[in-house]
Parts: sequence; structure tokens; C-alpha cells
Amino acid sequence: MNRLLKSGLIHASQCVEAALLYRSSLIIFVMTELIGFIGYIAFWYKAASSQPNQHLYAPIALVLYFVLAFFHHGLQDHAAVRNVATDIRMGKLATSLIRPFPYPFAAFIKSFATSLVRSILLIPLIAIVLWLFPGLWESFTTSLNQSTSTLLHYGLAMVITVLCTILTRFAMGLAAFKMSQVWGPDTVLISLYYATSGVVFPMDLAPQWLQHVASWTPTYYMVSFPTLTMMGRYTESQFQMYAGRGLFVIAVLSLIIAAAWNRGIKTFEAVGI
Amino acid sequence: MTTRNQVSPLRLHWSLFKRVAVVSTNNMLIYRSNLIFLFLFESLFTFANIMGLKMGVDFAGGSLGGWSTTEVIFIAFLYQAGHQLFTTFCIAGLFHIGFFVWSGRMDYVLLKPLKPLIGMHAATEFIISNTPNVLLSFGFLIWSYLKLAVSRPEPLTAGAHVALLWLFILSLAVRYGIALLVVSPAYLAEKLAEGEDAYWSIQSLGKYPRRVFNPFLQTVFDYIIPLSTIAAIPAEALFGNLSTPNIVIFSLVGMLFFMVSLGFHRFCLSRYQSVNTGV
Repeated sequence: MNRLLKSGLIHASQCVEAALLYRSSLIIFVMTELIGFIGYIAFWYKAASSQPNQHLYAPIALVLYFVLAFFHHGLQDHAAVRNVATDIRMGKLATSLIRPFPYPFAAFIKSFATSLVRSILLIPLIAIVLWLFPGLWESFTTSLNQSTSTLLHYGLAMVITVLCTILTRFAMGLAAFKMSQVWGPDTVLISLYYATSGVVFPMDLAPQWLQHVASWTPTYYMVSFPTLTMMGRYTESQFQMYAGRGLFVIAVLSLIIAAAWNRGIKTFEAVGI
Repeated sequence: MTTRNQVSPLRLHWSLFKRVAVVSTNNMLIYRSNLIFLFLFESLFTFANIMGLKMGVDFAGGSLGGWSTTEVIFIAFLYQAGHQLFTTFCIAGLFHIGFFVWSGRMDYVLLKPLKPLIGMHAATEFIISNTPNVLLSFGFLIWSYLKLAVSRPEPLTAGAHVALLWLFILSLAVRYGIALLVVSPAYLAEKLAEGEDAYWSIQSLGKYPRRVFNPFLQTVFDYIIPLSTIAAIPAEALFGNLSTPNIVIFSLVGMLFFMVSLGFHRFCLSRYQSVNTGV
């Protein structure tokens, strides 16, 4: 057990160190993704300013939504699918199999380290935006102060977010046991992410049927769930319902991963292609 | 002037285009599953965008800065049609520039008796697997056009249709120009080879009506980086909201932008040193 813990800690520190080395990739990510978000913010701000009854979302609340959505979007490690698939296809997985630390946990820690480092680098940027944009900081603090349990809920939401984010991409990467390339399924996952995560539009403004369908997919819990939780837009019962569904989605993903791993590892050939 | 033994450049490039299309089709049909995956990817992505735009206009009470839901959806499908054409015929050649520079394959492209950019397109493939999406996007464009035509009190004029067609062609040149601006720095430094993501983000701003943006950004997108030309201005020309002088000005801006981006590409290419590591 000690050996396992020690190797896990070493692996985790190495992953964080490696993630920190790629700071420039985060800067490129922020610069490129921010441009797209400027479009969302401009469009929705105009829409909210034009709405006849401003009871659903005040314009500033919509700006806050997209700022927070940008933060949660920034935590996504889209390369994780490719990394896992490459390890399987190239045969690199073979070396991991003889190491003391199990490969699925190693992959999990690698993705977690990427998200962690990104959050450390993104938080100051988001804080500056909240502070500079007129009225945004007030809107943010008002959202947080709506209920004493908002921060607690957000903590739980983030656990679900991180687990859904990592497990979904790991499960998709395991498709490489059966497929020569996972580029196709990965692109479908990305488009599903855009359609149901709330990164393009606030999910609580979507039609009921879409909200219902999306809430049974892991992508809903990657952006929409933590963002709406932090904004205090769920009632207590709504939060419990979505948190429950999120945990159910995680359980299903875990079962899929266990089944795919157990079947795949039996057919895995270390030769690679 | 051509003699009997010479082939005109136009004919030469046409046969080159056909050859790339045939080779691309043969190669890409090996991966038939890509047809399904690309179809699912683009369909879901389009669904997300259109759903978002429709929700926004509905949220605004059915009119966004004077634009109805039908008009905003038409702009979105116009944007989508250009996007699919560009994806099918241009992205492989343009977005492989960084990889070719990094791996040293650009030397082989430059040795061809072709203009460098044409050489890049000839050395890569068309994304033939995306053809269903091209057809589908034009189908939706026609559908939204008919819906728009029926909903308008006055008929759309023939001149407006000509302006739409011309500005749509120009919008493809503007897309090409934006892509050139973000990929060309790859010639200057290996670390600047990741321009593709920047292209997707920048061009995504072209799917909104112009009045969505504040006056400063609107001016930038009209006259400096003509993102408005991607969809909003062609749509406005069809609706008859643009005067002829305005159409001429926006056309000149779009053409100038394209020429400047070609010049920028030429400048960066002239700095290419063929000493890349490939590691």
C-alpha cells in the first residue's frame, strides 16, 4: 500500500510539474477561446438588453454566466481522449502495466493535474475580468450571498464536474482497444459537449426537453451545472435532483470504464501500430 | 496566349483540382466511418449554434436589434454554408502549413512548379467526407431563404440576389484571408504553428447580426477584420438594407483584406529558412 501511495504521489507531482511546463499552451487557449466567448457575451448581452421583461436574466447576469462558463470550459482537458488512445494504439500502455501505479489512475491524475494547473492560472484572470467589468463583481457577490449553502453546493458540483470531465474522456479513449482511430468518436463528443454543456447558451434558458435530455449526459455537468450552481440559479430541490443525476452518470461511466478496461486489456497487444 | 503544345494555366489548375478531388475521394472513402462521424459532429454543432441563436432572439422578445428570428437564422445558415465549403476545400491545405514547416515537408512543396499555396492544396486533400454536410447546409440555407422570402411583405429584388451571390463568394475569400493571417506565422517560428484554433474562434464571430456588437467592434469587424462580410453583410444586401455605395465599399474592404493577407503570407514565406527540427 505504501509503495502504491508513494508511486502515486510521485506520479502526481510529475504530472503537475509537466502541466506547469505548458503554460504557453494555456495562454494560446485563453486567447483563442476568449474570442469565441466575446461573441456569445455580445449576442446574449444584446438579447438580454432587448428582452421585454428582464425577470429571467439581467444583462449583467448573462455576462457573469459566460465568464464563469469560460472558467469551467477552461478546465476541460480535451487532449485526454487522444492521450489515452495513443497510449493504447502505440503500445505505450505496456510499460504502464508493469509499473506499481495502475494506468487508469495515472491517466486520471494526469488529467486532474492539467485541470488543476489551468484553474490556478485562470482564477486570477477571471478575478480581473470580474473586477474590471462594471457591475460584474456586484453580480457575482450577490449570486454567492443568495444562500449560505451556495459555496458548499459549488464544492460538490465541482467534484461531480471533475469526475464527469475525466471519466468521460477516459472512457472515450478506451475505444482505442477496438478502433484503429478514435478521432471520429472524439469529435462527436466535442459537438455533444457544445450542444449540451451550456457553453454556447445558458442551459436554464433551453427548452425543457433539452434540459431534461442534457441532464442525463455527462457534458451537462462539465460547464452548466457548476456555473448555474455558483450563480445560485438552482433551488435546493433542483440542486439535489441534478447532483443525484450527476452521481448516477458518474456511476454509469465507471461501470462502462471497468467493463471496457477488463475486456480491452485482454485483447491489448503491446506491439502497437 | 497559348500554342498547341502549351496548356493554359486555367486548364492546368482545373485538371489539378480534379486530380486532388479524385485522390481525396479514393483516400477518404477508405475511412467511410468518417462520413458518419463528420456528419454527426457538424449536425450537433450546427444544432447547438442555431438553437443558441433562436433562443437568444426569442429571449429578446422575437427581435434582436431589429432582426427577426427568421433573419437571424438565415444569417446563421449563410454562415454555415460558407463554413462547410471552406472546411471541405480549404482547411487541409491551409492548416497543414504549420505541420509541413515543422516537419520539413514544406521544402518539397516549394520545389513543385506551382504557386506555394496551390502546392499546399495539391499536397494535401479535400475533406471529401464532409460533402454530406455541404449538401445539408445548402439545403437548410435554401429552406431558410424560402421561409424568409415568404415572410417579407415586399419581394426580394434580382439585384439583391446578385449582391448576395457576389458577397457570398467574397466571404469565402475573407475566410481564406483570416486563415492565412493565423497560419502564416508558422514560417517565422515553429512555436507559432497552432493557428487553426484561432481561426475557428475568430470566424465564429461572423455568424451574428452586426448590431450585436458595440459600435467600436462593429467598425473593426466592418472595415479592419471584415468578419461582417462572412454572413451579416451578404444577408443585409439581400434584405435591401445596404445601398449600392455601401456594397461597393464592403466589397473593396473584403478584397483589400484578402490581398493584404496574401501579401502577409508571401512576406512570412520569404522568411522561411528550411531549418526546422521536426521534433
